[in-house]
Amino acid sequence: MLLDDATTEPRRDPRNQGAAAPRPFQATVDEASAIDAAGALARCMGDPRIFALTLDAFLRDVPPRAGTLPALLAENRLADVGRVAHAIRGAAGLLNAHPLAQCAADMEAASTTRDLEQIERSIGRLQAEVARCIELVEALRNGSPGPDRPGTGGA
Amino acid sequence: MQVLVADDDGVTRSLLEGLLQASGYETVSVSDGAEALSILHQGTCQLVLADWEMPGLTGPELCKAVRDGSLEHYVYVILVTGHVDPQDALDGLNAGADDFVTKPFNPPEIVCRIRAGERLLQLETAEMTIFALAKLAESRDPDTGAHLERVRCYSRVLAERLRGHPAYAECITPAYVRLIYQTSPLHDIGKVAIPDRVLLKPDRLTEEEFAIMKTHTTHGAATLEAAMARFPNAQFLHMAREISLTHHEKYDGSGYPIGLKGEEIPLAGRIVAMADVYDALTSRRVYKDAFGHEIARGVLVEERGRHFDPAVVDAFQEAEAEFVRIRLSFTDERTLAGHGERDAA
Repeated sequence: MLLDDATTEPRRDPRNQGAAAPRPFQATVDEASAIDAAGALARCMGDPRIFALTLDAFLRDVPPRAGTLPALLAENRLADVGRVAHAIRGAAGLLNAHPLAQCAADMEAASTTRDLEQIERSIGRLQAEVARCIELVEALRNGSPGPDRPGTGGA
Repeated sequence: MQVLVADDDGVTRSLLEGLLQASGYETVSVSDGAEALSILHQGTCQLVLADWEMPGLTGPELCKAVRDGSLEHYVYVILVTGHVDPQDALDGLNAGADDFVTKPFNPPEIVCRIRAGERLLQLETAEMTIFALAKLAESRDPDTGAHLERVRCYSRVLAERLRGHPAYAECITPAYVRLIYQTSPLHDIGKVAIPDRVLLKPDRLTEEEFAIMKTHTTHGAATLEAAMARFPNAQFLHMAREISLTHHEKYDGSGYPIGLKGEEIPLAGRIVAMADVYDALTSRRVYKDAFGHEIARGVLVEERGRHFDPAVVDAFQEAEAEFVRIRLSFTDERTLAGHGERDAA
């Protein structure tokens, strides 16, 4: 585990000058958190640069995907709802955004059984989780643990 | 080594790229399966991490396209997917994936699996060794040019065409196509045992000399049988032996060394026979100019059911444009200067 790396200045890799690493923070596992930042960093092999790239990709990809869900549901495109939910589940899982991954999994399952009520409920939960993740990801990118993250104390 | 990351999810792409670069790999990433296939056709990537759900081509569709035999090199495919049903793993592997990893993955495991893929790809050097061995045998014949390259390409084209026919659909798999491409260059390996006075003689051979020349088929087969005894599971040795022994057999039973007839001649032997003769006809020899494609076609079609399997001749006629293209792409001064075959046409 290379968590200590996250409390030091990020390493500079000449191959990826474009990616700015997040500023130092201390992370611990907290099931209530939108993201288990310590676990996510570990998945990036403790490399702050990779972590930064992954967080950026999350901000770039996941919110727009989540934003398509209401329209897809309104058009009764349940297979597409399932595909979007599947993609969000994958991205959230890699970032250890467990609550979001669970919402997406519920929605994916509901799209398979064509359970419209469950999908509608899941959309609200999912979008709320995406919002929580955005807040925390932005905080992590700025080097702060986020406003309501009891388990992720700032540096 | 360059690794292709194909995933429509940016988080997965970023993470995999970061992990692989940190582990010393170069990466190329795409978000579309069709684009991934296009990059693979360029030949710069032999290792792919592919998502299951992608636009263009899905992961399993990409696997099937990779395994259809049209790529120059073996490509190692790892499906990385959120599909967790065991049946999905079976479906992915059946589609041609070499490995299957579920999200969220464990980074060190991904790197280990990539390393395993690299090891397997290194086995492809065995294929290069086969070709080098064939070239070595051929090197005693000074004017052969790109004969081996053309014969392997013609053989692959014929096999692919035959594969489209119901009668051959089961026996000619993509793996068979690849195998014939790999092993057909060994068809004349037995020529290492032919004395220079016969092999390099610039005039037509006497009856006695021709009898010696004909033994290159049995010498080649014997050499490969010795290798088979040591490596009995190496499929390429079995096919190489068949080809070496039977590529001068004729469909009507008048060929050598055994005089096999019709489908007694292994299919690979029937295919390479036609590829070899077409190349002999369209290459210059010490005693003749190179024939043009039209004349060569006339000779081959005339031999339908006599020298050649009718089905193989039909496949040739369907694929004429590809033969012309291959011939042109490998034409050089050495090719035009002479082929060196003494007995094919």
